Amino acid sequence: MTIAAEFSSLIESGQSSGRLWLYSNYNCNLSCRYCLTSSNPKSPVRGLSKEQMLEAVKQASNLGFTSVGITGGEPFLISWMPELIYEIAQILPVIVLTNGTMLKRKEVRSHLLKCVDLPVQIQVSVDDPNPTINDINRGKGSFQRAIAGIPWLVEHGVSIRISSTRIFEDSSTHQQHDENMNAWMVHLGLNPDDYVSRTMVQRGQAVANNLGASVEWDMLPADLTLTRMGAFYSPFGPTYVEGNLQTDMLLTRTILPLDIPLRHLVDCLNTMDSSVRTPESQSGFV
Amino acid sequence: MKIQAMTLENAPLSVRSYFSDSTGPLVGTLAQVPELLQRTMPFLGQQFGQSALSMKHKEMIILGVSVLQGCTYCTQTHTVLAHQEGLELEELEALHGKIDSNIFLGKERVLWEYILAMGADVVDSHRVSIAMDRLKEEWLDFEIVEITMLIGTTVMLNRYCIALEIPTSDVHIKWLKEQGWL
Repeated sequence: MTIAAEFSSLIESGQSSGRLWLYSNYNCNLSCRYCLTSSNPKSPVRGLSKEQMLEAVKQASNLGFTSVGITGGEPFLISWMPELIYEIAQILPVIVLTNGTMLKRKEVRSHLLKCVDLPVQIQVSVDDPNPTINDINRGKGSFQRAIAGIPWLVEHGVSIRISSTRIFEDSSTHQQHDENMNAWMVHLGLNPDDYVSRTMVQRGQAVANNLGASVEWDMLPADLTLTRMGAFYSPFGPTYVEGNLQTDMLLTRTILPLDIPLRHLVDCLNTMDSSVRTPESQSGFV
Repeated sequence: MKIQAMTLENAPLSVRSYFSDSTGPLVGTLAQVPELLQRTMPFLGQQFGQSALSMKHKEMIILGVSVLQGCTYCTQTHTVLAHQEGLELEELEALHGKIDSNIFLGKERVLWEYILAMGADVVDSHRVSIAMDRLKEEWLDFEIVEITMLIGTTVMLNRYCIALEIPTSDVHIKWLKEQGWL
């Protein structure tokens, strides 16, 4: 059986979503208290090149991957990122995780407009419709900066998804939060179905601030994740604590050709007890 | 140590099976590149573990080459391991260059000459050729292949351990001190 066929069967059985994650960079213009990558304006860039990312996506398409996710740091701090998104979207559907602060930029908007008829979704991080609550972990003024660019993009047909990263003491509080988020999204002209509630995971900066839930690797999505430092089991893997890379989910330092790290991911999945991982158990980690 | 050695706590997922509470710095540093460790360990295991060549002769080769190359980690570690594999004190001293190597006779004599030729900083092909001819009088072809590969692998590891300043384990340091080697 080829590696592509093996991988496809793991996608079919729900062991992997089939998404390839690319960590474009590690620097960010915000300094969120729970950031997986401990990103901030002073973080080293640790970036993948445009050529590496495009080549990875081309190979991913041939290996059975079904979509691409781009995250950072803040991807839109990279000048060529909008152009790259346009190129990637012609190969595979792509979702880009952003703090939203760069979405008012003319050069970003002009490229995103070109993507309106392509499978591109921009996922903006907003933790709460109440700016005061949102800004506790994401920094003062971050709420206003995050949402300022959204109405124009909605008006012009750019697909927007909102994600909130929180941890709740009980399910009723969580449910109330989701309802508040949905109502706020409708008010902004967004589809409330384009909302994802992410569990705050105790990795990266969340360790230093004692935030989030402690989660074992086998509960996390098995989505191959490429970074400047290597290939990881999950997008929750390539995290930094006090400047040190957390290597527990490192698969290989080789990222291309893509079949090398994919082989290691598939081997991990084939040897682990799949019963501990269900789509439900991973629903908070998308 | 120049490079951080990984431990059981932060061992990469794909090579965690190589780790325990007592994993040493050689594996710990190689794990920086998990796919390299995965390939290297079976390779080293085949060469340094049980095979057609006796463990005593393997330790003689590893220790002899490591002394010639000036690798502190390999020399100290394999002084202990060579002792455990039955090398006598005077054999260890000869391999360390502390006494004359004429204690090695017959097969071991020609092996020692081959080690000296192949373990030198700069290999003299004429000297190696002469040592090889003598080796062939006492050893079979397949044994010579193993010997030669083991010398080459030991040089490789010597240079790795020298460059990364791999530290000798506390247990081995303690034994070397007790036996008067340090």
